[in-house]
Amino acid sequence: MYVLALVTQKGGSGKSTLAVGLAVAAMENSRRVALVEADPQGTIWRWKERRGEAYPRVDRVSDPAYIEPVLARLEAEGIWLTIIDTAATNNAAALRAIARSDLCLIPARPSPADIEASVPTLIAIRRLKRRFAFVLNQTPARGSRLSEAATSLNSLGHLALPYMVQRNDHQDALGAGLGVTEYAREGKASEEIVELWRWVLKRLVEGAVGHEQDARQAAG
Amino acid sequence: MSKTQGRRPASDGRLARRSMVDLAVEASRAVDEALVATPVRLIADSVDHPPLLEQVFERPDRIEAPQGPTAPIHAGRPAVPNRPAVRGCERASGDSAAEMVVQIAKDYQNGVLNHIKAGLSAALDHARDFAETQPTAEGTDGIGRENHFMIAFGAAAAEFRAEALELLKANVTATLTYAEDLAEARTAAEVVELSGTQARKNCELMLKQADALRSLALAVAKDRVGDA
Repeated sequence: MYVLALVTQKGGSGKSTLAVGLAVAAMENSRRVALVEADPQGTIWRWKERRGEAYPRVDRVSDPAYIEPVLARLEAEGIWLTIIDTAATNNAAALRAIARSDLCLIPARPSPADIEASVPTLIAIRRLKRRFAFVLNQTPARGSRLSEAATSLNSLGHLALPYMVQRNDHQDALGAGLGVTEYAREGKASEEIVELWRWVLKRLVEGAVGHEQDARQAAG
Repeated sequence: MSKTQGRRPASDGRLARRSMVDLAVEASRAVDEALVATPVRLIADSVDHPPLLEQVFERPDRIEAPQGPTAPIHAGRPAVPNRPAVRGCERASGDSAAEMVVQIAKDYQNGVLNHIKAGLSAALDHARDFAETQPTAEGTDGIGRENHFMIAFGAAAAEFRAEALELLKANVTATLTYAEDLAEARTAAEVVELSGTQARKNCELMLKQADALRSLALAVAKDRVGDA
């Protein structure tokens, strides 16, 4: 089972919206996708209530100690991808999510506040030697500020592609209990999230291959 | 009046915007510096977190029991003097790491303390309900028995508070050790292992608390039966 964590202590960066969008996009590969909500805000839980479908499965974790057991159970149930949505703070839950993830995504808007807020998250990720990438989120469609932010985030680490442009479809899909790929399949927001999912999947698979090679080398 | 008369050029009255690229360079430096910082020293600052004893020993409104011990708790670690506030990007990196780890410790500590607080309230409620539901002899002086019960109950509650104090000490020590170990963890596997160990310690403490609850209930019950 792949584990993808969305982490940053910056509120309003779009973690939950991205988590939902990616989870539904990933269901194109296989339906058995799960979301673990470690954010007491409950955005994904309410989205699931509106959705009324079995997948993606949603588990809500109020105690950080339950993250590991929940992941173990999901894997035992045949879930192939779990996306963990964390709260906008660096707490024990976020740390455990980072520790258990194959890839961490750090959503950041093109703003100084979002870049600054990523520092504690980056420290945690690098100390735990996890793979990560920034996602430039809620961006304007174009402009010098966008390219400047992209340059900035690239200097701090990998930057996932494409950028997620601020589009109403994301919010409307969330309100309707749908993924943006279900809500407006032909829309630009849908295209972007599908492309982002492909980018993420490629890194997840590459990471898994890398781990296997490391294990073989260690065994040899 | 022209429609554009009220508009000002974009550059008018605005200071130069801070470059996000420069900011990223500072952020990168902050991350690198934090990674080489010694986390243990930073963790020690969490000892200075205001004690939550008042919160823990907040008395249930419905119960009248004597005040328990109010001596300050020492977590088994030397007190660390407050360091002066730091300014600037270079020091901010250390602060960020400290804040993150201390926040983790605080979150955990708050969770444990809330458990104890809930247990304390439940114990007092349970003991009172237990005593009130015991059969009483006909014709006994109700007022005198009630007074006697309150005295016995107060003594038992004080005993429980002392027990809870010891539990709290153990919890604080365990939490700080956990936070310190967490900060020193180098791999994900270590974090998971530490978390499991901490969960076990927490469980053991909760069992002790359950024993204390049972003792309190028995003490009140014995007194009640003897009175009847």
